[in-house]
Amino acid sequence: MRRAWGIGLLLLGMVAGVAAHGAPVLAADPAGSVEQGAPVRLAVRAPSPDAGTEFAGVLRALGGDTLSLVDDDPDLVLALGEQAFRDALAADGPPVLGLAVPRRAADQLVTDACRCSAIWQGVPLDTQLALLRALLPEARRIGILRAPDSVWRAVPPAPPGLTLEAVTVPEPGRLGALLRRHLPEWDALLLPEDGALFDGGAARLVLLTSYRQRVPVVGPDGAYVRAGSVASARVLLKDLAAAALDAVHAQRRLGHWPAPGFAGHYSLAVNEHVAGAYDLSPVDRAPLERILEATP
Amino acid sequence: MEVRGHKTLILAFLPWLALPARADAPFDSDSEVPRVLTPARLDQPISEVPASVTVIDRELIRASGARELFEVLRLVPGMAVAKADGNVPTVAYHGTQARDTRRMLVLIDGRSVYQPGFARVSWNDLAVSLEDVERIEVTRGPASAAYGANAFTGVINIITRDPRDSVGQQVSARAGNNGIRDVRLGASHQFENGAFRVSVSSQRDDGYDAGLTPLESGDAKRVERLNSRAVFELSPRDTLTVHAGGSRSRLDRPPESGLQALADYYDDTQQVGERAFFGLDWQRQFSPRHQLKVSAYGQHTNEDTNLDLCFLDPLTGAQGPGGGLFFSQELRDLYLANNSDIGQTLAAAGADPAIQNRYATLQASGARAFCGRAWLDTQETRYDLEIQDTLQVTDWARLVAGANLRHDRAESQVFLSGTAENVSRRLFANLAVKPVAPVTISLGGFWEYDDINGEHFSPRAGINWQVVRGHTLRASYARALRTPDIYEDQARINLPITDLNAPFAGNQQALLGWDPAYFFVTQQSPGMLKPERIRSRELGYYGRFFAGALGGIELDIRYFREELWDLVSGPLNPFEFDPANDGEVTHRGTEAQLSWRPNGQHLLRLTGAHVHTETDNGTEQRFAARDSASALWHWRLGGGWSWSSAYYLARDYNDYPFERLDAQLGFRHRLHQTEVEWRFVVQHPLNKEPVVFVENKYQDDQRYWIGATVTF
Repeated sequence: MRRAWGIGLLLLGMVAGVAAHGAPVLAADPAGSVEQGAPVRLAVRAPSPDAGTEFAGVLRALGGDTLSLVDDDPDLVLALGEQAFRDALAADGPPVLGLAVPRRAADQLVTDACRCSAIWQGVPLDTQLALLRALLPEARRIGILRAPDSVWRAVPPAPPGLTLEAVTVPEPGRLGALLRRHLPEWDALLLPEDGALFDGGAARLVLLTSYRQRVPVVGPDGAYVRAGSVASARVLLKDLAAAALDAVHAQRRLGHWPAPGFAGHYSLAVNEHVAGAYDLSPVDRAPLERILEATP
Repeated sequence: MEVRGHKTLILAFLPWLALPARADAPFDSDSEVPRVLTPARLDQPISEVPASVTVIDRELIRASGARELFEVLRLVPGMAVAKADGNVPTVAYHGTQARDTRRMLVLIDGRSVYQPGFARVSWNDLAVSLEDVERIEVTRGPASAAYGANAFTGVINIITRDPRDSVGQQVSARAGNNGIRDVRLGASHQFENGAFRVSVSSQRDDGYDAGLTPLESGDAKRVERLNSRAVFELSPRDTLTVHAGGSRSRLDRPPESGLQALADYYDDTQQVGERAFFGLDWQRQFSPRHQLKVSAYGQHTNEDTNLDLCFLDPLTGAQGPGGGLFFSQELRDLYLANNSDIGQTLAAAGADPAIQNRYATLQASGARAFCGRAWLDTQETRYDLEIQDTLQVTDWARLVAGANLRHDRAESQVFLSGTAENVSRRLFANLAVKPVAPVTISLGGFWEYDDINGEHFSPRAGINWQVVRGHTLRASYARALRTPDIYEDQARINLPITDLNAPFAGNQQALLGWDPAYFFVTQQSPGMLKPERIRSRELGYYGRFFAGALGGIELDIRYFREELWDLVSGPLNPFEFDPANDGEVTHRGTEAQLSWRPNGQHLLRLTGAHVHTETDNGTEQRFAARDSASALWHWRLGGGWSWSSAYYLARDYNDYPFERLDAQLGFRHRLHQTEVEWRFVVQHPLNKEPVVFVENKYQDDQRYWIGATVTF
């Protein structure tokens, strides 16, 4: 009897685990070719062998025997990062999916003529804003800093009771002056993904300036959180792999890649030390993670 | 069987365990961002502090429309704030005596501006303008365990703007009725590894109502200030901060009532003050969990008040050479023989042969009057060195510990008849532990030894329990002390006179019996005073939460009982000098402060305090308002326009209620590369009562001014 319970739990766990990681999209697809049992042959192109190996390992763990990772004659190519995506497109081979490609590059590279698509780098601003609202509900005046050619030109509409003020930083050298000018007017600062504006060199300026003025920062990624940002949604390898498997499934089912978009799978990063200084610690992660799960 | 069960459990989670460890690695620019050693990692949130804390930030300061720094402290529940003595403000948490500025510690960027020589905080002379202030943190309740002696009823910590956060150059001017004329110039510059800022300001007004006889003006003031701060980021771990500044003040002072019975003033009395300070802070961040700070500063204060007097002949009551009797050797001897009783001395003077002879000598001098100038002079110097180490011992324990060495020196011919010094050595430690996540236990103590008061220890213990997220209950117990100042301990009052008219100038020995000649009244401290003591118990609630459609709310409620004893309640001026630890006061009551931000445009802030004060000495409750409150509403109208209005109530200060309504209209706009801000402020008293004392009457029912600030 106990053994029967054990086997039952085992099966339940396997089903739950597979479902949770998105890999079964291949196995559970009612209309795709995978149901015939033939694993899809995927090739991973990465900026370095180590990155490729790591990503392949995660893919394999999530996809199980529904996929086969190959070097030659793949059905589909997964290209990790902008450069690998460009290289794969230049090779003119099987359909290519770019992963973690900056949105601006993806807009340029994904054309009607190519059999390709892309998962954009980063996290949607809406998602970060939802995270900020859940973490800092009393923040009423939220500032956003962005570059003039930012992909975040369209700031999400301010929810009732909130003021969203987006300030354009014409050049990185002006970042300090604009922070000094606007931070006193804000309750929280939301940083969108913007490699040009919020690179490593800017972190010290942004985080120390905002901390001195007691304005918590949310975003733009996990590295900023480790450096001193309160929290951020971010894309881990497992999130990227899950997004890739979603896209592979859609491609097999539809015959073409889905349109470029965000990963749709996000993880939460929280800096408990900094959260503690803003009286937010310990952060209750569960509701925040539910928000991330619910966002597209 | 148990083993099998565990195996089943492990197998059930295999899909997760099968993920490689690097699945949690990021794939973005994550790894390129260097870790920033923000001080946030070692800061303590308000909900875990074992005391009630009020924070007044720049937004509140601007919204208040205040012109002078001390005025924004009306936004602190339980804080008594008034110009109780003409143009000299008194600020006291749970006020007691009307001119009481000695029972609360005030810091500017960690530097104590509590003047130990004569136990006071001179709000007029603080070398910082309101525009230089980033925020003010007020610890309500005794905090000697963290700050040492004189953090008696509370601590006000004024934090100036970091130059790295200062915006460009600023020119501002303000003009209004009642002689209000203010100007400020500010400059800042950020460079590769640091920044500096400097500001120069001038502030003047005509004070309260004119008409104090015999002079027309008694409380106008003019203050000039210089404040500067530079920060050098020596390395990613080391920061050096340099503070420097000073102030110069000229305050018209009303006549001394004790002297008015003996003399006529022939010129205005002015108190001229000069202050300068220089400080260095070096901070090293060893790790996110460990920080060391070494601070050193020196500061000097010099104050002189002239008393230009023609003394009255004690027989005729009119100006005459007989007025010199008050500076005669014989009257001093008689005063000492009568146990320093002024009334008895004057009553006995007429029958004293030596006095009669001296009077005859004065009459024969041929002088028409006895006139001269006396100076009330004080100089104070402090050197302070402190080392403080902050260590996050574990995830649940945080320790702040350090040592301090301080040298104080006071000099005054009038009040000390020379120079006096005091050296103090101090050790302190405060430990905060979280044995379980929602509970913080704080234990702290401050040991000090100084040459005047010997050895003392001030403890504090508190527990904070976060009942649910955003709602914390607090209980704390603290003891603190105020050490007698140099004046209280070593006063030796002797008032000399200079600039005498002919024939007294140069003939003091012959005409007055001694040279230099002193006013006949003298006082000397027995040097036996003990420190004043306070014991405080507090139950509190702190909430910071989001109330749905109502928006964000921050609420602090405090119930307290404070017992003060060994108070030096008696007067300590040249005419009345009663140094004794004979005062007792008990405060108990409730305070609350609420900040409500329904949306991004509106901020409403309410405070209220209801305090029962019991004392055996009437002077100890002159500044103890039973009910006090403030309400501030700030509305950002959009398009650069803003509106704020405030209401302040204190019922009563010395039987006179204080009630005022303020309104401010602001407009900010850009003009090419510059930003211009206009502000129009009206302060409207809601009654005709004087402030604290009957002579403090407003010249105008309303005060108003318009100000402009240009930032470029």
